[in-house]
Amino acid sequence: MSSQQETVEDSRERIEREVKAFLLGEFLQGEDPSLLGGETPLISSGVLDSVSVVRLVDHLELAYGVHIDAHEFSIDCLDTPALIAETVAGKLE
Amino acid sequence: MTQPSTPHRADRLRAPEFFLLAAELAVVLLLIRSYRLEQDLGLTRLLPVVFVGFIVHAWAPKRLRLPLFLAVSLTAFVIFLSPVQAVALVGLGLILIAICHLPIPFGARVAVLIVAGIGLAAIRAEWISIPWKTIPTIVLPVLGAMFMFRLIVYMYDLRHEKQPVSVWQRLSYFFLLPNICFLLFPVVDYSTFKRTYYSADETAIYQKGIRWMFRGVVHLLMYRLVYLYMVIPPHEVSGLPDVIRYTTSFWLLYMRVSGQFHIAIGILCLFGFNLPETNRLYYLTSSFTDLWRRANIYWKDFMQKVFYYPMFTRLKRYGTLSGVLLATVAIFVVTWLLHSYQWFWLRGEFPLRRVDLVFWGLIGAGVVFNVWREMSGTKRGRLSRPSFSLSRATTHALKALGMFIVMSILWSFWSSASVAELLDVLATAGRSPAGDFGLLGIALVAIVALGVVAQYLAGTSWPAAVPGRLSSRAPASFVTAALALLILAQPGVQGRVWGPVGAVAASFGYAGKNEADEERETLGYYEDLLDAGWQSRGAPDPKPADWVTLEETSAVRATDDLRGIEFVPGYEGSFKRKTLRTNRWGMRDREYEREKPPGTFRIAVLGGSYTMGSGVEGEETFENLVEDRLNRESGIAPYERVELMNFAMAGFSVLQSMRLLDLKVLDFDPDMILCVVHVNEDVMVSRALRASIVKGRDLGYPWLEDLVTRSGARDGMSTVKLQRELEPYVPEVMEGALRTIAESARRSGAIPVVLYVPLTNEDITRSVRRRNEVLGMARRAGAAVLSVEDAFAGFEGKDLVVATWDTHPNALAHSLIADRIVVELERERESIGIAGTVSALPETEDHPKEAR
Repeated sequence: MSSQQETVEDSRERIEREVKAFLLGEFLQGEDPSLLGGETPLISSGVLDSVSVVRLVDHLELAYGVHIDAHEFSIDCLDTPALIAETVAGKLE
Repeated sequence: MTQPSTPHRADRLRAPEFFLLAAELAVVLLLIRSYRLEQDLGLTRLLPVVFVGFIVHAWAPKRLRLPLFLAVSLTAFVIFLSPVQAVALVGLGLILIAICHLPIPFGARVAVLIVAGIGLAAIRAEWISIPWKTIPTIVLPVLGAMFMFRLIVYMYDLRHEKQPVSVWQRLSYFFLLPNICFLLFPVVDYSTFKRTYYSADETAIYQKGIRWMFRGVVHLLMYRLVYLYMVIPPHEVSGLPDVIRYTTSFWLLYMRVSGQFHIAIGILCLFGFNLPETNRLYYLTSSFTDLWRRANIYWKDFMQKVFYYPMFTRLKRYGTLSGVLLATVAIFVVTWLLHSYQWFWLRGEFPLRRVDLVFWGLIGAGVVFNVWREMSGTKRGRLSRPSFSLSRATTHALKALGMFIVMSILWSFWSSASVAELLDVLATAGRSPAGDFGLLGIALVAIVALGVVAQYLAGTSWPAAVPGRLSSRAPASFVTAALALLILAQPGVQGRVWGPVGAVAASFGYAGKNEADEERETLGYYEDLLDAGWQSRGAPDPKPADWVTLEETSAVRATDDLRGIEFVPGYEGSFKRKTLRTNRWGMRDREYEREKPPGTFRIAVLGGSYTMGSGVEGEETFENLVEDRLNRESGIAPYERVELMNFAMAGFSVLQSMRLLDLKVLDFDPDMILCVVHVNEDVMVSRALRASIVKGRDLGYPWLEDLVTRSGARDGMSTVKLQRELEPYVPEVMEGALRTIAESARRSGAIPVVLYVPLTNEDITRSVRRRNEVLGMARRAGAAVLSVEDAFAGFEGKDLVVATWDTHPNALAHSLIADRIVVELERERESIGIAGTVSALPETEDHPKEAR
């Protein structure tokens, strides 16, 4: 792996950690953090509803200075912490 | 398991598992067939296609599966439509899909689609006339059901589509097999449709499909119980228990929608489309937002994706909270409009009713309030099942009960004819004794306690946050319940099991209408438009625009007596696409002389639309067929000739017939008055009397005026109140009318006979009580009685009706009625009093007919 690729990977991991922290603080208070993995389904399992998605997107746009299009408010882009991190990281690249 | 996986895992399917799946599917399909579920929509006709399609598809090579699914869908289209109609459907669909892929800018493609849609809408509304008459009434509703929403979702996703998609997958998305049967269809999301195709172990997907189909069966059976035993006409509501029954039944009827949705998506699962569930425990929702997210999940997802998120991204510049709230308001306005849009494609009208706006507005207001609270506070999601908490469980049970009550009232408001009608119904609760309210309080407490116990037993608060995992094996409870229901479906078994169970099982199998709807349907028959609130929401209604009521034609004119209308003499025109010709005396019949020819036995026939021959040619009516057969064959010895004069008029009951007899019929010197009645005669009498009161017509009989005065009914009352005041007196009115007819007939020397004719959709085993009531009245009134209730034995209702949207008897049904009348006349001639009459010869001074 090149150092550039490692940086992108690190960036994704950092974003994923931050996203998990946001999710645990905003929507999953009192839940066991170990239950929230990178592949934990959020939208498809009902953990996040439309209001939570809007708040999440609002946070992502403010925290990372990215713009998330309406069609990206979806399972394809935001269903797991890993996917969320990938979507945000993809916009930062 | 729900893990994403490589599509097309045909190698996973093993023969033993497959045979088990096929057997389970066969049981579910047999259940649908045995209980005749959604038979009118054609579901039972779809079953062989589903079963054979599943067997072949499951073993087909993976590359052939999507083309095979399309082939199965097209086969069903040909079965449901004619080949030409199927070609038209697929052709129009392909054109629409082709427009989506035109090599022009995206906006231009959308514009072309809108123009094409407007053109098709103009044909659907019959503003544009085309030579192929079934296109607007049959093909376009199906095309609309397939494309009206999916095209929107498709275009939305097409704009952002990055992965290559096969043409088969694109076509499969639109031409979905169960859509040909269920026109009201869940809005399947295109991305989800692609993403979930064989997204799990295929055995597990098939198993899920079968289980959902079974769940759909259970919903439809429960719906049938509610429909048969809970639905109550508003005028019959007379106290708190009835109010509860009236309001809750409307909300519970929604089970039909969820039942159909489960079966439709279950069928798609059988072909590898691992779609999510459409409804989830929606009677246990605890708030408006919860309801919105669970009552019709596909609709919520559609609104969210295509309208809510795009609107939010545009509106968030006013602040996140404002953006969310404004977008939420907007989707309820859109929901209201799109429900009318859907109604247009399925039923041909675009109703923008205030009641719909208020209904969606109230639900929307509830959701907006909840969203505001969620945005202002901390939203709590779940990753694990919470431990039981009495206070939380009690709160949840109270909320769920409250939502159920609110939704019951809202749904009954949506379905009632007017707010005044609903308030009138609710006000009757005040007549109940205090004990009823006490019992209600105890029942509510018991329900909450039951909810708490259920949550304790489940070990968590419902609903579960995480949907159930897929399993490749059927749970024992499913197999047991399915087999038990299948055994109970057998008529021989129903009579042998414990009474209540047998009765419930028999009700499950009853595909006919309940008493309230039989009443409404009869009003439909007899030239009254159904009130929109009573219409079966979502059912296809291809009734063409020229299928008008008799009162809308120039064949009739108004009268100011009880009859309300009479035929214009010498009229010739068209009615229900058949020739309608009246003779010079204003009867829908052949020409007759006023003076009875010598040697003639003259029968004056009174009745409603069945007797008049609504939807058949004049020569096809049972009245003319009986006349022809009697004159051609047995006759009424020793008379040389028989004349049947048809005085019937669509919409007439014995009440109008009574007046017609006294005003007109007796002038023709009949030897017999044959008054035709049916099971809903009381309904028709009630309706006729209400109409006369409202329109201030001359009632014409002191006994009738006295009865109306006693009832307290008067002009100016709401329809429901008027009906409620009159209802207790209807049997008396009916018997009085029959007695008046019998007395008038006898005074003029004619034999009064009441003839019972079955409705084409009548279950004569269920109608026996009402039939006996009608015929008992006739006997007490002094009339002879004939009944041909079994005239349609051995025939299915669909073979006897003039059209799918009009259940008046067709030519076959009229001939069956005529055959039975001839037989009954011969068999009962002595009891009727024809045999041995002194005027067997032409009337002379020596043989006055009054001597009979």
